[in-house]
Amino acid sequence: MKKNILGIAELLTALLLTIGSFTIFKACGAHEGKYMACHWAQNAVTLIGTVITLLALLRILLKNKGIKAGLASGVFLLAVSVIFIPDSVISLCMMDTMRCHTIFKPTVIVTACVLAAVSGIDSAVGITKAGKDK
Amino acid sequence: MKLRDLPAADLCRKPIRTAVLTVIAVVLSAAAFGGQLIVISLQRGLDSLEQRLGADIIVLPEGAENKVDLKNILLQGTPGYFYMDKSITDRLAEIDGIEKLSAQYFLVSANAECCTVQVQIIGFDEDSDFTVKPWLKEAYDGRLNTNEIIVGAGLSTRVGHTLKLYGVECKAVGKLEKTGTGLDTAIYASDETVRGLIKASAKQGIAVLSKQSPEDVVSSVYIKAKDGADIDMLAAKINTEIDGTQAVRTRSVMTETADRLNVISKSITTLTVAVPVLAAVIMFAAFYLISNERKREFAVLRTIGFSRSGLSRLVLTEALITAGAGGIAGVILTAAAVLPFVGVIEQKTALPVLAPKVSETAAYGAAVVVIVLLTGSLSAALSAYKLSHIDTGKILREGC
Amino acid sequence: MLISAKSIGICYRKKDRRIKALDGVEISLCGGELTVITGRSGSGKTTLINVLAGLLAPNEGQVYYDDTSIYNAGDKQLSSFRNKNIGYIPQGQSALANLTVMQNILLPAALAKENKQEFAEYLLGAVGLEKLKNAYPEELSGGELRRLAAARALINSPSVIFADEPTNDLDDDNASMMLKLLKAQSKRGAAVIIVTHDSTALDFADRIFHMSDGRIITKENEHENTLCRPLVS
Repeated sequence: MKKNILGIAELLTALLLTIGSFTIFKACGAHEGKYMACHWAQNAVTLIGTVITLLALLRILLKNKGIKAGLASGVFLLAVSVIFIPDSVISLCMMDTMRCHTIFKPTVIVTACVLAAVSGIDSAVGITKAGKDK
Repeated sequence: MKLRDLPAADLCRKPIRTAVLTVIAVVLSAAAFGGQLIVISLQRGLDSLEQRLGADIIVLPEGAENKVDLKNILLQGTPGYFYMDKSITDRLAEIDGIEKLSAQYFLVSANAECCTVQVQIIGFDEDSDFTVKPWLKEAYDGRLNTNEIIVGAGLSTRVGHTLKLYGVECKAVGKLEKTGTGLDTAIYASDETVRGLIKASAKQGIAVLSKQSPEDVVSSVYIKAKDGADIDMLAAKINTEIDGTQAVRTRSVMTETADRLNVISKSITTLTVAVPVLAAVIMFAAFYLISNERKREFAVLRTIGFSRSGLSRLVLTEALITAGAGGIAGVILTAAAVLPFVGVIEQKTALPVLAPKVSETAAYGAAVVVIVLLTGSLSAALSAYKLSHIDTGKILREGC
Repeated sequence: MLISAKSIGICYRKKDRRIKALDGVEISLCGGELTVITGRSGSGKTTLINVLAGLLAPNEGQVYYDDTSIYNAGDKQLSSFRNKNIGYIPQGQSALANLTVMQNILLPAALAKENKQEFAEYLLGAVGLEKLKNAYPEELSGGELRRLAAARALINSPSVIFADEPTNDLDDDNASMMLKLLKAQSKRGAAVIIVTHDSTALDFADRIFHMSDGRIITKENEHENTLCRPLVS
């Protein structure tokens, strides 16, 4: 448990990002059957969040320290990329007062930053340890 | 082994004690910084609204609901429209005590190209305007041509880009500064462009607004009184002399907002003071209790040759490390929790919110960290004194 | 002669009763000698060495180190003097729980801003703790902790060493090793003062004092001050 504390933190944050992106902090909903631009940003976050969740799960289950460090690095890079999805890579709606700007974007960025920080520490620790074991 | 490693060793080997003290410092710093940040953002929002309106009196069509609509437009950016006869502008111009007046025409878009939400379109007279152009962040040369618009800071459209309104491609030629008010999400255009948009809406079968062209009607008139003029008298004069209108003192819109802001600010300020005071008391009690269990450790340090001042320094350094780490963490966490969510706060409080600039926020953060450091060292001061003045002989003799 | 205590009196109140822990104690201690102070519990032995070590200011009398009254010095000066010249092995557990065995031993040297890593390694070997140098005190037995306290007291090669029941918690072999170590310090010229109930310590003593009710009642091998060798500096 103590050894995997960072891995568990990564998994929980990744789950929050993935599930939250289409539930508690989802982007703007459909109006008259039409989806707005932010919907595609939400889908992208959900998709990458799912990939991160699977990587974080493998990071906990696999035993090899080198692979663990590699997976943590993967989680870190993907988490950093998620930070730029809302509004920078995929445009959101036109007005700052809309849900995708007020809730979706800041929550995704904050959650992805937390995930990047945790996985960044995890990969740095993992790489150092794996290097020492050699 | 270096002497400067001693405080860190003490802190690392007692993780729970250190964590508890750090968490108290985090709470103290988060409450002080978060509360202050919100109060300042609200205050700046209100100041910004006052400056943004730039007028002493706003004249609207008669009717209480129009005043409510105006407030919604100003504070929450909820689009609205109401109209009165354009001749009112000429009649207003005849009244004494008015220095400037400028009429605006409110139109609501059915939807913009990207989003199924309505946008407030404001038609304004460039010649008489004194409320829009002063806020231009990215200026444009010359005048607004047909289908050229100025956008508020809250719209993602950039200068040079186009925006489709009622199927008409409108080019953004200017952008306004962020004000934290509802006007951030408005679009400004000349009367000519507005007329074009009304025609376009008619073509698309959305003809509800087409009967009321900016040639015949206006939505509001912004008035700047002459220096020294009695604004209340002026408003009363307009109300009695011109039927079908109501002159609203901008300050009355502001006063209600300011009153609500005061209530919120007071509650937050109370919390901002109460939570840190409580945290400081808990911190003080924690240090005091810790000092009791560390007596023997400090007696041993005395036998090694630590002076009283050396022992005080050790206690204070440990307090400063925990308070500093907690203070910085509290500021960073609060900044991450509050600043990205300014938009939500604005919506939930229905008040204008304008977050301070990065440099100002950093300065507030630094000030809070200094306060937390001072609180930490003051809380530890008594235990530092107590531990540095222990009766070494007695403690060693008791052998406990 | 180096250490002399003149008319030392210590009083304290206990439930409205005035108790004299030390009553007009006169004592002189020399470098190069191992002095043992014995007496029943509560006779004032520990209080006396605390007074002599500069840890407890007496209500009456003065303590002189080379004609200088130590309690006339300021706290900083006295603390620095204690750090450089006095080694103190307190009664009971005295290891600093947050530091490793090695860090515990090096702390007095760090305070004196000296690097004594090599000497610390030597002392660890001398007290038989070389394998535990990176362990924390919580991993050590009572006897190991006593030996750690001894090594820490010797790191700055002090000219005066006070040891309060140094053989407590030690088995016979380790007790003998501890006493030999302290005797070696006196041989190098330090003044060693041991407070103990352990009769084996008497075999190592150059001088023996018996205490009762805050007074020194018998002095064995007492000699004139002029015979004292100067303390090593």
